[in-house]
Amino acid sequence: MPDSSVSRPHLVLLVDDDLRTSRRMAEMLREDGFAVELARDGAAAVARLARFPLPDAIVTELNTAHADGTAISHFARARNPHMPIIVATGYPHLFHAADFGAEAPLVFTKPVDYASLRDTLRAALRDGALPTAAGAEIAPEPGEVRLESTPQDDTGNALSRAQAVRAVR
Amino acid sequence: MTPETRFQELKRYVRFDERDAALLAAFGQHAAPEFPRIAREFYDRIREHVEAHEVFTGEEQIQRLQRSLVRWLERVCGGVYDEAYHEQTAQIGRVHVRIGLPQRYMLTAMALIRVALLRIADQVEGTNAAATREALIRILDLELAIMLETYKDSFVERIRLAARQEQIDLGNALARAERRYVSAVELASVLIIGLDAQGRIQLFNREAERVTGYARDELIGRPFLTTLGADDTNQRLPEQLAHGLNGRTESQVLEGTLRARSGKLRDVIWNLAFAGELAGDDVVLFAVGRDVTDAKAMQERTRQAEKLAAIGTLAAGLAHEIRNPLNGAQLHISFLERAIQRNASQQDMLEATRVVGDEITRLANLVTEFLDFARPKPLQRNAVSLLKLCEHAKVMVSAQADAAGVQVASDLPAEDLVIVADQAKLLQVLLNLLNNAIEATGETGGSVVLRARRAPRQVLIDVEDDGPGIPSPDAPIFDAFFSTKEGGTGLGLAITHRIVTDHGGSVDVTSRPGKTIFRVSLPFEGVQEHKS
Repeated sequence: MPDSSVSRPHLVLLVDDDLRTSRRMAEMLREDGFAVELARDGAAAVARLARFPLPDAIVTELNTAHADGTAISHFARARNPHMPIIVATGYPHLFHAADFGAEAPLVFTKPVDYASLRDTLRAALRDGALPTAAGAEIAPEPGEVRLESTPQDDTGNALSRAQAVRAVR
Repeated sequence: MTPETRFQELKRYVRFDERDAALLAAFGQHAAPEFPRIAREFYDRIREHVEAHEVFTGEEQIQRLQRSLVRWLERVCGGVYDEAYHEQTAQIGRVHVRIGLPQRYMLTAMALIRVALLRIADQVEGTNAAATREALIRILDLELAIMLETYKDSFVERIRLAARQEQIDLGNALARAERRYVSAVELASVLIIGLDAQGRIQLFNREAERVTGYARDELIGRPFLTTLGADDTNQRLPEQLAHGLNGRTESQVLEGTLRARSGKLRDVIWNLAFAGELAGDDVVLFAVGRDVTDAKAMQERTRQAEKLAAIGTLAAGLAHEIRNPLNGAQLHISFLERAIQRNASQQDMLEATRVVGDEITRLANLVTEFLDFARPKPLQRNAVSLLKLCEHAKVMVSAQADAAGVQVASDLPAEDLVIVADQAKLLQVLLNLLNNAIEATGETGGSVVLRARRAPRQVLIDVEDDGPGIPSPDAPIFDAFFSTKEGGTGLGLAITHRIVTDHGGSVDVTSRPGKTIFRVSLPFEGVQEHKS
């Protein structure tokens, strides 16, 4: 995203049917320097992704009407293969990283901690990499932690997206 | 006067006297040249008969026998008929018995000899022919009589031997039958207890010993009902036993319990078989039982699992729906917090929003834990290094331990133990137990030990703390929603228990002030192959 980082705020597309909460989150994100658009279901999200300018990142629920989070992500990646995608869902069991190809999204289980989500977005948009899972306060379901891919690397810094994804599989 | 011998008695019977002896001696002189011919013809005749011929071993033997037949003819016509003569004849008889010559051939063979000798007598004796014939008939029949006597002796001996053998066989058969029944009773995988008319134990098989933990010599002669506590729970068993001991004879099937030596109750399905008069024995009733304790426990576990699965399905749907409103609440709290933060004078309002935020987080954790308990994901078994797992768990709780001022030590085997298990779930078990231990000792700033070692068929993982201990040791601490901790969900130990039992293991606890040990036992089958 060579031009967007300087000339205009990052545009985030929020996809969730709980519009009241989405609006409040949008308000807070705007205060924190993002541009935000809302979509209440999969159809609206896909319609928005068909237009330019493309959003710089997507935050989506998995369980959305007309097209689910996985389908939205596929469509978004068809438009921009490296678009950062964050899943924020009440249905984490619906998430299967394999559905997302090489660059699987990070998953937040609802209720989402706003500050963590914002920091994750910032990091993703700053350098195209997701921050450490520890910093992002991912809430994987118990039993999802794997020893061989503990979400902390040797330096304690950001993991690659693929590593972070393994951390929650 | 010496008593008459058997030979003398026989000679007197056929009136064989000195005159006969003299006639035979004279005949012997005249007939001797004919003897080899008679012998040859005699054996030629035998060759024609299969069964008679079978007693011979070969031509050489026949030649030898022909020569001895000639000697015999010479002896019969020798004129001397004393006790030595009798003994020699008996000897020949015994040889015939030994080689197994059938009696009928001896009798008919004698007819051949007789005819041959009588013809010669007719030809050579002239006026003495008639008397010589009589003498020949007498001596030849004496010969037969003596030889047949040896057959009789042998027959008696054989009968005696056969009778003795029969006795031995009968004894063997009895012993065999007894062994067979003993094996059936001892090897049967049912309890077999024989009772006498007073209800005292007279028979107690191996399975009964195994199930009850008593040896039979401890119980023989003791009353069945009271000794084995069989009358504790089921009134029907004593009732039916009393009926049976009073001579009722139909079979009864009923459920009961037994108190084993350890004090534990075993569930047994009894089949009462009344032997009554049939037995011819002091045992009048057989109680044949099947130990169904384990099968019942298995049924109970299955029922429990089905119940949990049903609750889980219902709860999972609900839990997911709870997360969405919680999400809205959480976000709005964050929004409120931000708004209040801008106004420094409203510190207590800020505090209030934080409390709401914390409560929302707690609810969210409860939902997650409950889902995990009610609808656990299937185990993903892999080869797991126990050393790495323990070290990792220890690292993961170190921050919490430091904050609480608790020392966490590990006591691990020098050689790694590899088990096939779901690594992430086992880690969760260790974290749960370590967190509990740290919280339990936190108030006293004590120490926690994580210990792993190998038992013959298990690996044992202990989490020991020196805290005040569990207040009431009988509390159902592994049950869902049982919690003594403020703010606890009451699911941590229930999840731990479920994960461990899903692995085919067990978890139990011993606790006293200053020493509480949670012990996880997992099955271990030696060197494990990596299974994916």
